[in-house]
Amino acid sequence: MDMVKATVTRFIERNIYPPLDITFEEVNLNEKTAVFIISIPEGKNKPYGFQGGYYTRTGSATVEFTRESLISFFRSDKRQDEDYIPEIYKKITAIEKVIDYTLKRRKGTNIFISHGGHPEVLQLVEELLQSLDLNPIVVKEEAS
Amino acid sequence: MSIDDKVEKYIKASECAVILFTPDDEITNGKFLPRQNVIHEVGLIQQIMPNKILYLKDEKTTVPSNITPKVYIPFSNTDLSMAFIQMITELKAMELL
Repeated sequence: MDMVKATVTRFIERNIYPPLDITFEEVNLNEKTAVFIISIPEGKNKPYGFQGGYYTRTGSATVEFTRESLISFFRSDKRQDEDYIPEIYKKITAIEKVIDYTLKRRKGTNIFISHGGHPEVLQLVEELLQSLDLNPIVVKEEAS
Repeated sequence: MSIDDKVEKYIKASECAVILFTPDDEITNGKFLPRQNVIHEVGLIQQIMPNKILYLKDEKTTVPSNITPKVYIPFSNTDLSMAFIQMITELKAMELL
C-alpha cells in the first residue's frame, strides 16, 4: 500500500498544479481485500492545471477552460493580488501571459490624451479607451 | 500645481499618449492648426515616450512640419470608426491590450 500511495502522490505532484491536499485511507474489507480511498477536497486555488490544460466542474461534468473562459475567470477572481498570483502560478508558462494581462488591466493602464477644442472627439476617444479597460488621463483647464 | 506641472506629471504616469490633432484654430482658406497646448504637449511627450504615441489627425488639420510624425491615424470629425480600429491595432502592438 505504501508503494501505491507513493505512486499516486508522485503522479499528482507531477501533473496537477497548484498542489492538491489529498488524503489516503486504507480500509480492510476482509483478510484478503483492502480498499484504498483517496479523498480530494474542493480546491481553494482554482483553476487546477492537469497536463497542460485547465479544468472546472460544471455539474457532474469536467470541462476544460477555453482561452476566453480562462481570461474571464482571472478577471472575475476576487482573491487575486500581486503576491498571490505569481507565487501560485509562476511556474506555469502557459498561464503567465494571462496573469500579466490580468494584473495590468486591474492596475489600470493610463493613457494620456492631448486634446484641443473639440470635446466631442475627446469624449469619443475617452469612451473607447474606457471600453477597453484602459484609463484615459485628461487635463482640463480649470474655469477661472 | 500649474497646468504645465499637471501635464508633465500625468504624461510621466502614463504608458501611452494619444494626440488629437483636431481643427481648432483657422489660419487661412479652410486650413486649421491644432490648439497651441497640443503642439506644446507633443514636444513634451516625444521627449518622455517617443515610441508610445498615437497621432489622430483630422483631415482638415495641418500639423506644423517640425513635429510631423511618420504615421498618422486619419479621421474626420463625423467618423472615427476606422481610426478606432487602427488605434486598437496600435495599442495591441504596444502590448497595452
